[in-house]
Order: sequence, then structure tokens, then C-alpha cells
Amino acid sequence: MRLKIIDTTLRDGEQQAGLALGIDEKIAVAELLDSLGVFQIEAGIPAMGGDEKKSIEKIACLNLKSRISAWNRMSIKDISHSVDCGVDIIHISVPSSDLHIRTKLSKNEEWVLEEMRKCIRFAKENGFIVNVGMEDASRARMDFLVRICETAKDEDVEMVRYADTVGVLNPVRIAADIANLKRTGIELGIHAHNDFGMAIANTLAAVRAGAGFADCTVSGIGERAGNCDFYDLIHATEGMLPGFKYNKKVIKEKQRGILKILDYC
Amino acid sequence: MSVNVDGKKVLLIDRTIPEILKCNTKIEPQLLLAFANHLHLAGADLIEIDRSILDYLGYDIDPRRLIFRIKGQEDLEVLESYKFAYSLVGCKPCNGHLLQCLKHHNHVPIILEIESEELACLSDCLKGVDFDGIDTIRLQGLNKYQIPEWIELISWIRDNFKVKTDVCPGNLFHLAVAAVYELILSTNRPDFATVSFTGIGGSQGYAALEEVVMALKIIGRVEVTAETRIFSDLSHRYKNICNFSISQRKPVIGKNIFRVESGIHADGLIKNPLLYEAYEPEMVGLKRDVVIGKHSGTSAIGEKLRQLGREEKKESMSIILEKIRRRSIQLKRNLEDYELLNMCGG
Repeated sequence: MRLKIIDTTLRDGEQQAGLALGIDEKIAVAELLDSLGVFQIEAGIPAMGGDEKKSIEKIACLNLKSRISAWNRMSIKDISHSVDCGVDIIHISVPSSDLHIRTKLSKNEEWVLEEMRKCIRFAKENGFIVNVGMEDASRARMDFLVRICETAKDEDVEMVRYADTVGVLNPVRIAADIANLKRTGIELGIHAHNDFGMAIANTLAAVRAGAGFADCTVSGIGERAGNCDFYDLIHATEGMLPGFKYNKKVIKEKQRGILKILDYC
Repeated sequence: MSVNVDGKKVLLIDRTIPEILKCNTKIEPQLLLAFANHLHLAGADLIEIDRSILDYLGYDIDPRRLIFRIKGQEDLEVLESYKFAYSLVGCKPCNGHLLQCLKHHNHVPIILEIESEELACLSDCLKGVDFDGIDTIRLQGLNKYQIPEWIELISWIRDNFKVKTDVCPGNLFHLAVAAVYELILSTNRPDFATVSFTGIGGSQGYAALEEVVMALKIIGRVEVTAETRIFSDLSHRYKNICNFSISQRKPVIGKNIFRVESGIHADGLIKNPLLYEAYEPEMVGLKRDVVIGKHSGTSAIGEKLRQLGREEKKESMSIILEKIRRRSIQLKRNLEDYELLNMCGG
């Protein structure tokens, strides 16, 4: 399977403290990302409302070649905002580690699976393709990750994303985890953070193990030490993945344009 | 620091100083000496130098913590006077005689450095070498190597040449930290790993010392004796002596890596910092800073206002939130405290 790039500059990238994009700027960035040929653009969080929601609506109306997705917490109220925006894909972030389920939500795993089912069904009933993100997967128990993937498969979810929310993965570990989760038969993606300088290595290891989708951001922007850097990922995969080709010169050029819009040097 | 995994030690070699001096030769020697001592505290067991650095530092550094690079015949004299931990020589055809002479100084173990990008070239380099008297082979470069290729290579070197191994992966593809981390935790671990502070090193760079140390400590849960709290101080010293900037997002040492704005994450951090951070900022000498901007939520704004001595009614928070978002987009940045207070009526 050919690797598909999901660019999350407009969602996770923009969450870097100090970055703030308005409607026109978000549209301009989306157009540049589309011209790069990325498979999916994660355009933002509609539940924030206001200009953020309007910008996602407008991006969804541009009829870009890249598919447009919107990020949501596992909440029907949040997903309703994404439904309003008319995006191509609704991404539902599902807490997967004990720490997130019990400390942040004060819930248990059965509740998570039940809510996940409800949210997926709601999005699908409204005619949307659904992706599920396993938040904090790198600190979760494998048996629960398998249950999330199995549930997602049952509910006809397009792809499940393994999110290394605090950047604590290493290549050997992610390769083993992806190989395990592949057995559920679901398509997998990888979302890596760079807290220990291993985002590129972890993304490559996941792809080698069978992940078909890789998240990245322009220049690696994002919270803390940032995300997997788009250009660096393309550079590192050169010659490794047959049929996967990007023009690095064009990426550099468009990246400069995007960073200018972000007012980020 | 020496990483001790399952009873086997791996020593970290740091080559920051030669790399710094390639770029700037006008550094105050005392500052560089203090920097070297801090590198040691930060986890470097051995520091790589050459004769020009020794001349520069005034020989006022403990030679037992040094690896001395031999570049020419004249360097051999220095070996007579100082008991270095190791000597280091590049594996090049022109160094054949030098290597023979070095073997006569058999009180200093020899590290033979082989730089290569492909296994085939590496094999060619090794063909003509007499390994008698060589303590360690340093494998440098191999930028595109990942796990398990590195592990297979170390086994091959050990099995065929009966020497110790030192890995020094190049970082051209941003894979060096992962390679060093995985190798140290593998069952076939090397004896040494060579790194540099911030990963400085010519056009390709090396694995960053601070990232390797913190990855071992936090992800690998390996007991490390490095004083990780001095990483922030070390980065200030580095910036001062080199005049180099460090990215605000640089893992472990970037000044903004614990700056949080997102509403979901700021709210989570108030409940439990470990929800969205792998370790406490103080562990690397930094501080958490919750800032207010476009992505902030009412919970973080309420908390920030309380810290600034203001209480806002719950019903007015959504109006304040909208004002903050608009102003932040206008300014293309987060808001300063005074701007936030002004927005709430002074």
C-alpha cells in the first residue's frame, strides 16, 4: 500500500503556543498543502466555534484534491460542529491510556468503547467517513488498543491512528505495536511527537511495520518539541518506499510560503 | 555517566568541543573548560579532543576523561606525557604508518574510526587492517541505518574482528538518536556511543547527548546518573560561547517546549501534568508556562486570571474567550498578561 500523508499543520501544528491563524490564513495554508499533494489535510477543531469553525467550513468548500478532515473529542456535541462544516472526514480522538481514561475523564474502558461506538455511528449516519485516533496510545495497554481497533473495524471506520501523544515511543516498540494491531485488519496511521528527537525514526518504523498513513506538520511545528517534520520525513523515505515520491525542492518552497503565513521563522 | 543496562556498561563519548572549535576559535579557554566539565556532569563519560584543543585549554583537564585524536606523527609525543583514556585514529590508507607507531604506545587503548555510508564500503575499509592491538572500532556515518540493521552490523564486527564497538551514527535523516537509544537497550549493545550536545557536527550532525540521556531515563527507564537539571544551564553556556541559536522547539532544551496554550491540554495539565508531558520541566532545568491565546479554553483563562489576582464570573468567560481569540488572531501570537488584564477591564 502506498503511504498517505496526513498534514496536521492546521490542527496540531497550530496548537503550538503563540501561533494563531485567522480564516484567510488558514485557507491560504490549506491551498498550499493541497498543491503539495498531501492525501489529507487536518483542518482544525470545529468545536472551538467562531473563526476556527468558519475557516474549516470554507476550506471544505474549496473542493481541494486533498481530503479535508476535522478533529473532534469523543463527544457528539463536538462532532455536530464538524458535521456543520461539511468536511470529508471526521476524526474522533478516543482516550486509550489508563491515565487519560481515569484521571482526565474519571471513566472506564467499557464507557470509552460505548461512547466511541455512539460517536462513530452518529458521524456515519450523517454520511461521513470516520477516522479514529487512539490518544496516548504509547502509554496504553495493548489489549485495550486491540479492542479499540476491533470496535473500529466493526463500525467500518476507515483508519485508526496510533497517537504518541507525549512522544515516548521508540522505533522497536512502535514496530511491534503496529504489527500487533495490524492483525485486527484495520488500516493504521501513525502520529508521532518529537519530545526525544525520534519522531522521524518512529514514523519510519511504523510505516515499515505496515502503517499506511503518516501524520506530519510543516517544519515539524506543534506542541512541546513538535511533530514529525514533513520535509524531513520525505527526505528520510527517499528510495525506501516504491511509488512514494515528492519533490523536495517544491516542498521547501511551499514550506517557506506557509511559514511566512504563520509568521513563524 | 556510563549507562548500566543489565549489568553491562555503555560509555557515552562526547565530541561537542572539536565541533564547536571548527566554527569558532575565539572562545575564552576558561569558558570552554567549564563547558567541558558541565558536559561531563550532563552525562558524557569521555570527551573527545585533539592536540589543538589541548593547547587551547592549557592542559588543565583530567586526561583520564579524554579521548585523544591522533592526526599526525607529532601527536604521538603528547601520548608520552599524558595518560589519556583512549587514543583515536581514522582508518585511512595514509594513516597506516601512524597506526603502527600508535600500537607501540600500547599503554593507551586504540579506537579505530571508520566512516562509511554503506556496509560494502565498510567491509572494504576493514579488509586491509591488522586488528592486533586495536581495542575498539568506531562506526561513524551510516546515516540511513535503522534498527535492526545497526544491531546486525555490531554482531558482524564483534564476531569477525573480536574488538569492542563504538557507534557514532550521522544524523542526516534524523535517525541518530533512535539508533543510539535502541542500540544501548538491545541485547547486543555497543561498548561506546558517540554523541554531541545539541547534535552539533558538520553538515549531518550526530545524536544529541541530551536527547539520548533523557530518552534512556524516561522511555527506557534506565538508571542514569547524569545531572539532567543542568541541561538548561548547559544550553545557555553553549549559546554564550558559540553564539549559536537553539530552536525554541529543540527536544529537551528548547525554551518553549513546556509552553502550553491549547485549551484541552492546559486543562489536562491543571488536573495532572503527566497527561500531556512525558516528564516534569524541572527535570531538565525548565519551567512550565501556560499562555493565553487563540487555542485557550475558559478553564485555562480562569486559572490565569486567578494567578493575576482577578476573578471573573462564569457567565462573562465566553465573552472574554471570544475577545481573546480575535485579538490573538489579529496579533498572530498569544497575549501578554497585561493585554489579558486590559481586555478584562484593567
